[in-house]
Amino acid sequence: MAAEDTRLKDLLPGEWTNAKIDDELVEIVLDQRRHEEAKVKLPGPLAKLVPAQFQSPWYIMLGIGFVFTNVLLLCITILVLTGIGVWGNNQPVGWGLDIVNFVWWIGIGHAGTLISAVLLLLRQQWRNSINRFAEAMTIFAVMCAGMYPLLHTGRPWVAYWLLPYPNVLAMWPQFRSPLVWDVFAVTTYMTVSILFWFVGLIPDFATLRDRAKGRFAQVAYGALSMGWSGSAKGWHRYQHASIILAGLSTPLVLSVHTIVSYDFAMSIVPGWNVTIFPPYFVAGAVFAGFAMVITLAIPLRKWYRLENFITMKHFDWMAKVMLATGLIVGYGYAMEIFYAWYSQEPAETALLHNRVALADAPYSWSFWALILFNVAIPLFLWSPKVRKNLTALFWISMSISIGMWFERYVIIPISLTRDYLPSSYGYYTPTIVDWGMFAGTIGFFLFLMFLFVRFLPMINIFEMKELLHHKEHEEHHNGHANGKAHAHVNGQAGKEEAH
Amino acid sequence: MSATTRPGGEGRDFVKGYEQLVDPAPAQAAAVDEFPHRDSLLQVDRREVLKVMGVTLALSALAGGCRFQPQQKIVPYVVDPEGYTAGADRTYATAASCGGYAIGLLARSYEGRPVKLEGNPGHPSSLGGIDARTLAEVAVLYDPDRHKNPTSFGDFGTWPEFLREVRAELEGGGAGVAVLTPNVGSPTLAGLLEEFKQRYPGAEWYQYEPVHRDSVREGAMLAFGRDVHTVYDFSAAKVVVGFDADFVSEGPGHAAYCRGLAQGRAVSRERTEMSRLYAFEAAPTLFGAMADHRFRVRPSQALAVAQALATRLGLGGGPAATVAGVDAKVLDAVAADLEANRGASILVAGAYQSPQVHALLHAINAQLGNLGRTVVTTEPVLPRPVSNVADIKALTEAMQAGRVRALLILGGNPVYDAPADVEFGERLKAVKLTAHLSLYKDETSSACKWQLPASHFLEAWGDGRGHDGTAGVVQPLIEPMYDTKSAVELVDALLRRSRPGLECVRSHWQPRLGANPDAAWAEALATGVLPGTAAAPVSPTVVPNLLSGLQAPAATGVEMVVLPDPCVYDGRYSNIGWLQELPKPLTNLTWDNAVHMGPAMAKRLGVGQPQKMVGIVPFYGPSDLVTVTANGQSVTAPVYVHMGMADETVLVHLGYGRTQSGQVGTKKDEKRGGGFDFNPFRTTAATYVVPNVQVAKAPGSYGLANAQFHNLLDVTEVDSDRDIIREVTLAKYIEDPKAFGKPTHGIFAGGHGHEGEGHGAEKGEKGEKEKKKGKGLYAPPAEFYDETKNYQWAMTVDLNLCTGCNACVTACQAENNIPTVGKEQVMRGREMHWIRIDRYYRKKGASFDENDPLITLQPVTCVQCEMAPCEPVCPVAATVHSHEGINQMVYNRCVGTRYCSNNCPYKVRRFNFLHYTDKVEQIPVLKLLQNPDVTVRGRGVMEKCTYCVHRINHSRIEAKRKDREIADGEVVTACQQACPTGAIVFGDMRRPENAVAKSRLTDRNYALLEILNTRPRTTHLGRVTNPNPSLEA
Repeated sequence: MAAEDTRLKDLLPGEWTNAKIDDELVEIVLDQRRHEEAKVKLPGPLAKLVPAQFQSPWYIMLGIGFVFTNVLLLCITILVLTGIGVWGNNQPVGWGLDIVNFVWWIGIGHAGTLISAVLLLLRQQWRNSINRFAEAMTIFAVMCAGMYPLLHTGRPWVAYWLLPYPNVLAMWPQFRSPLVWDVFAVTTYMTVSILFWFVGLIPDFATLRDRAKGRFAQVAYGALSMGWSGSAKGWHRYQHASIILAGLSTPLVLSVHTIVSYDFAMSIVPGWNVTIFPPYFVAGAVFAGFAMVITLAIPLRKWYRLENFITMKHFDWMAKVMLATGLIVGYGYAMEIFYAWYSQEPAETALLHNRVALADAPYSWSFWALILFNVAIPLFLWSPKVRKNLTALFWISMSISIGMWFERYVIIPISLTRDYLPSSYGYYTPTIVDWGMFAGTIGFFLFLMFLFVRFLPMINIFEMKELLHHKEHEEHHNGHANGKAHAHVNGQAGKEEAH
Repeated sequence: MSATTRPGGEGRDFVKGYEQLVDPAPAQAAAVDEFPHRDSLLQVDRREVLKVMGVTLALSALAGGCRFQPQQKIVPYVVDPEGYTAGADRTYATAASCGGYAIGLLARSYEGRPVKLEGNPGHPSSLGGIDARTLAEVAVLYDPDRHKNPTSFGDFGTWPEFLREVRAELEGGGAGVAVLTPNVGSPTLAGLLEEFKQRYPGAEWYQYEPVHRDSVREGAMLAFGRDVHTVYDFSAAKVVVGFDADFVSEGPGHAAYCRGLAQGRAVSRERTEMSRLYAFEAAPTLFGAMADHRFRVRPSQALAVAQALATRLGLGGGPAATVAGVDAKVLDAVAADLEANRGASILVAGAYQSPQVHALLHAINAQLGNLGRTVVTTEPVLPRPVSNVADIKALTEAMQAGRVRALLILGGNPVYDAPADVEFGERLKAVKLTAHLSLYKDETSSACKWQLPASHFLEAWGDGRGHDGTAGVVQPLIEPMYDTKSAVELVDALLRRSRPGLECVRSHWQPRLGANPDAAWAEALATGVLPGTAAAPVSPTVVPNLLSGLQAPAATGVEMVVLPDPCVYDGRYSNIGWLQELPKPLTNLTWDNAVHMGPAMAKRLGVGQPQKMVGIVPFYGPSDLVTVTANGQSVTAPVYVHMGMADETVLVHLGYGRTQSGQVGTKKDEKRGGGFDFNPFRTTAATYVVPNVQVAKAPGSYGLANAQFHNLLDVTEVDSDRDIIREVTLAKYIEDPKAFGKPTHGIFAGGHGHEGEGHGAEKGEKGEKEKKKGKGLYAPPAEFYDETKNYQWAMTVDLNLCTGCNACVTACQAENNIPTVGKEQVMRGREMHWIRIDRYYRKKGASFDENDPLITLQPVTCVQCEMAPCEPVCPVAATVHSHEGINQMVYNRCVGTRYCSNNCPYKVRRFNFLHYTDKVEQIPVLKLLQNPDVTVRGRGVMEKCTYCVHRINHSRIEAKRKDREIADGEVVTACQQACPTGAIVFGDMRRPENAVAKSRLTDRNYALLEILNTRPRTTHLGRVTNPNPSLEA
């Protein structure tokens, strides 16, 4: 089918051989000069300050990441030494930016799992070039997320009590609490994500091992490749392992954010106690995750000249996923408003008022910011032109990231500011440490991300080769079978194309 | 006794030898001087200095500190003394005094340290109730900033040195010596001071009290031609008309008056009549909030209102029967109501109203036949009643004239709080020898030559008389912790007797103790009351032609009411964090005072509390500043928009803007509070109401720490119908058996899972069955309803009785070691009170008038839900339900996720965001303040009301020892105990005969936020108002 042809062609444009793909992608890791090639124009005074060889995107981004990682460490130190009081949390707002950021990061992680697991099971070949760094993004995002539940406790040194472990007190965690479910959900998610990521890396580690020149790199990648020889048996087991892990990950995509949403949905706080939360949180997570993938992919693609691997087709499809999930999220907001109105519960209607009213609702601006960033701006994605304009796409993705942050901000602290008794109405203002920790986790995320870009292949080498194989096959068939649709025997690609 | 060898203490004033009697100076020198025969250390040679230094160092290292320890043998109990159990608390009767009037207390002591004050049920001024300020006296005792030893010009001094100096001045009849005291209510001290005056005829004794009751006294003199003291019986009054009356929160006998007022308001199916309260007032008071009708009247208008009432009641002779701004219909109705309840009504005015108003109200009370019934006039209670303002004026005039050589200020802080026009501080400089005996080094101390540390009343013997004159002994519970003396001891020392305080007090009462003085004394110590000492009633007659002589002052310009602060009072409690952080009744301000004005006036001035954006986030708006100018003085302070203020009237509070208090009380910056000093506006002519005040907007703003915002119910659509406060009129209550919503479901009432079932007639059977089985989707565990098994604790709070006086809040703080957090933390919304008084405004008529709303108060603490939303969300089971229905908090287990607090619809959980109890760890004396029965919580844990579970367990142990059940009324929670009105009832609800079960069975019982099916164990009894039918719109 002609359409299928263009698809594979679009996914890997240009003339490629296996060796060329290896050269192109391995070089990013093994030839360290690649990271100094692209140059960034720094503003005047900074340009003088930063040595010329560090004026490349990699160094700049890693530098920013490093600085903010230190900000994070500083904030954590202050927090643990002084107490939760250094944050803006108060009575009645027990959870503020801590949990907002937790949910935000967890949500971002979801795109990685969705791309690597769900799209794998659905045989979507276009995932091949973006899955590796999306998975890395997942792991780093979950790392950022994971520190919040730990640190948001008043006494983090005993936070391990949330784990079920045998102890002399004969005390289990209290299993009815969604926070305990959270612990299981997030740790499972983290474990499976790391496993999946690592298993996927093994063939690429072997490639790196084989092509590395330095002894250290050879030993290091050799150890990581766990003796991968590329035998048919190896590939067979690899295929099975990745399908099993994908099967394990797929429910996690749904379960983790469902359980995160239970933290709120299981409570009785007006604005939290909403039955639509699980699906709408999952959709929001995918929404946010894809936005983050695009936000990262656009600059990386440019800096590392990956235009042939991450194509406009990829962006187009990712944008479509964002549009779809964005509409689901928008529907969620509409439903929340509808429920509040339909219930005619005083507390619920008051919450609605508190969210949307322009007067006498100190935080309604954040709701309208959410609608702007998360519902209005993403509507531009209906236009194919916008979907193909990388600048627009980048800023829309940014807008979605901001909007999703606001979503959690509106739901979590703002619902708490006014609940049942007007006497206990309060305000919430984050402090510098709150913002410092948020900026710090972003920095930590960037720091890890750019270390990853430098030392591990950010695009799945062997899957690209597999794609090339399919493409060649396809061209071959196209040439010889007069453009008739053809079922492939080999591998994953075939079944999907049969549709 | 311990301190015979204490240097500088002159011991406990034992005579050490004959020399002392003949010529005290050398003997004292020997007693004081560690290095006798040297005038100063300068005469010691170098070697000796080194020697002494070496020895001192070695000794101080051995002693572990520099303070001289009393040389006593300390032997642990090998065999407990009879009646003593290690670790058990003991209670002693004592009394605290304010303004010369005492309130009887029971002080609870653990191993010799008092930790909690409670009202003495046997004392007529307490009747078991207490107020927040008196409760905090124990924090004064352990205040680390207390003045600890005598200093002279700030340098170390000694008592003998001081006494030597004063005695020198007293030589030759004491001319030129003056003693300034606050109002002295203690018969012993008054007796000693009289004796002092006899001994030194030239000496003068003045009394000054910043929160004086001069106009009450002058009003009585105007009305009756003589000074009489008035005692009210609110329980017998059917109609109470208050003119700026704040007898609920201050003045003599306020705790007892709360009880009386509440008795008149108690209403049930069995007693369907209640008193009707009218309040005419400038600034909202707690009485006004409670009143059935509250009218805003400027301070200068009160007399006109009283006159109009008098005219209507046939007193005649008064001017026009109308008052601008007050509906004639109102006056007619009030007068008719008074007329209809002759002999059973009370007209009462606050201490800040003019003598004319007081006099006229006496006349009306007499006219209505209330005198001798609801209003009892007696001989003055104070031993030497004076006009405080006249006294301080006379003193300063004498000072100015150079007639005062030596001035002994025994308490009070006149440099800070004397009327501005007497220029006390300035005059003080002209006095040669000045000394100030006080608990703190304050403004007056540092203006004096001698700063003398005073003993706290829990450290020294004394006595006092209640509001009805009943005398009681003030027993100390602890040895003086520092080198301090009480006023009694000091005056006795000036009389060259230097007896211990006990001897002074005992010898004063000895002739009055009857035939068997020892037994009578022991009885008085045990009960806290000397029976038969109440002031004798008198029946004065109103002077003729009183009315024609009363001239209402012309209301000119803005009037400013300067009142004592409801929490820190005149500033004496500035350094007490408990009171600084106690939300002031009605405004809920903490840590500061402000210029209160009504919304209309605030709008006119264009001031308020605009919301401020901090970055992109709105924050508690700092209040606009206003400059208040009067009498050539001006003060710039933040504005507080106070709904219910009279037009063009501002209210300010005293006790703030302290320049020299302790670490807590001294005025600091906006972040730490400390308020503004309004004393400069007070003059001898106008101490409470300052007319003709200019108020103008000033640039800048100042953040106030408010524990609550303006909570409007019934105002906007969104806040209506929340079923927070249930309130009906008495008429409706009588006619409609379901006036408070659907009937309750037996003792185990509260939110019921099966709405519409088990109601009314069938409720008995069906409801019974259900609760036995504990069936249904939302039914609570059946064990709560197994009446054979466990105690089931429950509480009710009667909104009809609650005056909102805050006593419960401070009682809880004292009982449960609740920390204070400071202004900045309060501004962040992190105050720790386990019980709070919620305040709501509601519309008065058809629409909400922000200038004139109704005010409703509601105490809320953890309601101990049977189906507690906090419990299932805790990930570590740190909050769990007991079999007795208490929602327990396990501090040790809490990791601090705050999820429980988020999920608490009542928002009664409190989190230790920071290490709020660090001071307790750092400052040893604060450790003494902590209740040993209750854990001191560290940072990162959640806490909340426990129903005083330690008290329950205490009773449980007692009961088990005696093999019986805990009796009804045996467990009394701290809030319940403090409550002067008895609004709080607590107990085991299983037994239908128990008070709490009965209370839960009344048809006024409702569960807060019943709709959530939390099934609270603490329920509220709905409020019944008794408006005058002819004033009903």
